[in-house]
Amino acid sequence: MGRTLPTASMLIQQEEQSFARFRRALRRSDQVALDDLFAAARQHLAAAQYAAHALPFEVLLLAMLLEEHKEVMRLRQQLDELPDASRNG
Amino acid sequence: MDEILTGWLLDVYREETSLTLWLLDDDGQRRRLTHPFPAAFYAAGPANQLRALWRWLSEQEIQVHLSRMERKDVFQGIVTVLAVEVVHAPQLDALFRRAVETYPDLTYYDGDISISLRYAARFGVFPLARCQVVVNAERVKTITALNTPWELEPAPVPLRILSIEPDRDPAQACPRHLVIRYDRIRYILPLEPARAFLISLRSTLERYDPDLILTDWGDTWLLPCLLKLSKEYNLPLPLNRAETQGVIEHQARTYFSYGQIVYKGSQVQLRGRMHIDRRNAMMWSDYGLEGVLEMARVTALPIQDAARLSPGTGISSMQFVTALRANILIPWHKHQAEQPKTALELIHTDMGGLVYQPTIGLHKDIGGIDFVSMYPGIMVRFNISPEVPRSKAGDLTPATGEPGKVPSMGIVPQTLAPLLEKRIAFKTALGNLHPKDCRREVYKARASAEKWLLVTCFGYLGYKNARFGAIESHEAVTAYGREALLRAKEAAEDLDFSILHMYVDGLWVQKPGCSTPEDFQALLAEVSERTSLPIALDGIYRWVVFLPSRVDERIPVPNRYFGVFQDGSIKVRGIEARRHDTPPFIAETQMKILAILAKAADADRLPDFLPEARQYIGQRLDELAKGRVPLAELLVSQRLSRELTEYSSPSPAARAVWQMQAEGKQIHPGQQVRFLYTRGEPGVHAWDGTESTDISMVDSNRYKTLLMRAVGTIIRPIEQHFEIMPQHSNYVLFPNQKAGPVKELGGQMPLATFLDLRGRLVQLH
Amino acid sequence: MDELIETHPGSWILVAGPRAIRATMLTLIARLAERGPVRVLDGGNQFNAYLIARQLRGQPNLLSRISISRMFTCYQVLAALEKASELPMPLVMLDFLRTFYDESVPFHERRRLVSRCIPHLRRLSVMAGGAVSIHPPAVTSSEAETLFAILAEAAAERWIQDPPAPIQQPGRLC
Repeated sequence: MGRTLPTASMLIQQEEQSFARFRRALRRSDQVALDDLFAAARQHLAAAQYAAHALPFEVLLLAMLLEEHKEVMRLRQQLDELPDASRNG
Repeated sequence: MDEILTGWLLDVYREETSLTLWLLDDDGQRRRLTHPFPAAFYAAGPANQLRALWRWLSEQEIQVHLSRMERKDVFQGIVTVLAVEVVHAPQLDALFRRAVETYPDLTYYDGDISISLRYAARFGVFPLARCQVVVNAERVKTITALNTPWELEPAPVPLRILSIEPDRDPAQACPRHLVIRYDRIRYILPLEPARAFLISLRSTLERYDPDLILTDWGDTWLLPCLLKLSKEYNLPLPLNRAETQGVIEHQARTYFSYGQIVYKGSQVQLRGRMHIDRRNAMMWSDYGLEGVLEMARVTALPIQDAARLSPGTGISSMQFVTALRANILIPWHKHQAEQPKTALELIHTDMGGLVYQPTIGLHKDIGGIDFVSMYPGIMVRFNISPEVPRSKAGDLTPATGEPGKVPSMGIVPQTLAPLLEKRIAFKTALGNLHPKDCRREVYKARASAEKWLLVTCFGYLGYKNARFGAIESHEAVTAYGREALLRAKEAAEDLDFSILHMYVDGLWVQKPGCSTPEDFQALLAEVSERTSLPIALDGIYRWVVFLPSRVDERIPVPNRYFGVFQDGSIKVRGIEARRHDTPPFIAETQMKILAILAKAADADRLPDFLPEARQYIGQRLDELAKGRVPLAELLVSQRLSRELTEYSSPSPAARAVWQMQAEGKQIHPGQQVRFLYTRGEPGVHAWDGTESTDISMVDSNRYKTLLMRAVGTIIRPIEQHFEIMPQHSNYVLFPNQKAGPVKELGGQMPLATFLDLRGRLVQLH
Repeated sequence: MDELIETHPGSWILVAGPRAIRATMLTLIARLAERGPVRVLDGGNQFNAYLIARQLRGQPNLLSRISISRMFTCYQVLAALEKASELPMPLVMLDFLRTFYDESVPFHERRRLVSRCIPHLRRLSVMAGGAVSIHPPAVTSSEAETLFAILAEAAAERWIQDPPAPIQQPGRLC
């Protein structure tokens, strides 16, 4: 008796494919950033699966946002660790 | 006059009206006994149709006792059935078939259960059981088992084993002689001249009178060949001990199992002796004869069937025996569809175990902890069975926790419990045995048989034709599994461990200062407390490397890693060496590199061993370039997954098959195809059934690429970690990678920096 | 085609075509769910709840109006139909014939089971109508055509979409 629903991994792949036209029209540098976002969302496949949300794209966006916020936190921490002099440029 | 015998039950099978059993008695006699016994099937349905069946049955020639009774159907509860007791069990099959043809609309139970399982259920015996038998004129009056299949160390059975193997793989070239071995005797028997060969083999069979004939390619080549020769020269061979029946030959077939296409070669089974073909025996390389015999003991399947088990057969046989003993009906066809649920509920239940993405890169001092046989454990602990009503998953109160309130154990856990217990007992015993204790190998083989049954039991629960399978039960098991894994994660985080990877039933955790088994005890106890499931420390890794996807270096993939435990042993998953299609030369190179690196006492000393690894790689490349690698070491072995005509673009395997077909050789989906990569068109050379090739044809560049890819899997993450510039410029790590940011990143700054950055990111949360 | 399929109380319609018509069926389910409860029986692992949720714009909670039950053998299909009681909600049966293409069950048996399903399709469509989708098997056979004919004859309405002609692939072996 097989699985009926697509897995989280398949769902992300489908969502990514559904934005193929959007991606194509982006500048190359923006395409790279977009790919990064999807790659970041893939870090949370297990959580996305477990969430069992009827609209997976919402979870996907949240996962992207989560990784972005982690990046902000990391940069903020690096900034805090810099000596005052270099912060003022 | 009655005679009382004790001995071991070797085999049971049907004759025309009674059952034949072979007993190896304590005087060393092989006794052929007969045992008449009745067997029943049941029918349910509208009263008028049952009455018609009753009338029809009483007019048949086959002797039956008919009655009306109430029995338990796992899915429907108590049902009223017409019980058809056939006086001579071997006649049941024919009568059942005719009944079904005549009254197809009725619901039938217990109709297609093999006679050996019925016998096992009725008398509590099993293959190799120690029995006491009361006989009169070789007819069994009573039979009693003196032991159970659950003993860890049953008294050894003095089986006479004759081993026959041809000097070469018959698919490759025609064998010239056979190697015959028994007791301490070993001799070579030429196949030509055929008459002399047959006479000699016959005399060995007569003189030694083996119980078990162990062959290589006996199912597919040797025995069919012997039967043919024996007929041709009119020289009967006593392959069977019993003369009442011929040798049983089963044709090869291809079938689907668990979504995979499987090819099962032809089979030759004997009567009065047993035949096992090592090349056609399930899991032979894993557990050998000891495992096969264990499989027969616990499943009650005759030894010759147990050796050729297909997934699901072992567990279903055990369930049938449990059901027969408990008077639970075994549906002929499972009728129950899924209980309706809402689409929202479906989204919540239709998923498997939780699979996390690991933190890519090299990590030190990692504890690997695993739930012990998680899914079977869940089935037993939480009483998961189709007939047991389910409470909401998420409540991990063990089913045995509330006596009186909880329904008695369902058929699925009832069947699994002793098996699980035995496996755990073997594991515990192995932990306590001295490393040089001679029982180790036997225990390991037996435990491995149990493990295989436990591994297949979960899939079987979800198998569409499983009589006691139910999608709800299958889903409940994974729901409990997810809950347990999340509770383990929470326990680990509460105890300040960071989590590097989680995979269905295992976690990889790390905490500064934790590097001995004692340091993980508190965590194990806490997880066990929160989940009611046993969890154990698989080991502490000196270091482990989690690998990214082959296609995209940014994306970690679950269950692709390698590492070295504190005792120096190596564990690998998902890398080339584990793949079945990797040529042995490449798999061996990869494992040898790991063995070199495993010499490092801790992760920080790894760079010291890179020169030795590189030297070894150089040596292997040299062997390849100079054509010194034996061709068999370069064979790629792949399974043909579909009909040749279904391949839209011919894969190398498909091209190899095409060559074989051109030579008139048949190959079926599910069968293995072995080939070499060669230069020029068509780029492959089929190994079996075609003319041999010479080393100069081998496409050594292609093998070099494959080798460097396998080498890169191991070496590159380590070089990256220690920020060592690669020595080999030709790693081919990501053949399919599209131009993307990582490549740019990798080009501009050492990738290790990027990975460190990712590692730090993860530690933030 | 999406706009045309409509269920009518008292009868069921047969929707036959290539596997691509699954999307049409899922759209039908979403539209029916917007109006009220709907009962779905799935014989071929076709019920992609996410695709339906997407069509229920802004109201994924309507998924709880859809009752779904999956079948994996032809015996289960008949059992599910037999067991279901008449309810005032439409019935959608997805990939009805899939399990009946299983050659490990003798053909006469499969034909008998399909015929026994027919009265139940009628019975379960009395109050709110029904729709049954079928797809041709991977390899066409006269057996499959016989099963199709049994259903086609029993249906009140038939929507049949021919599959596109197979494209000859030059790279194909044999």
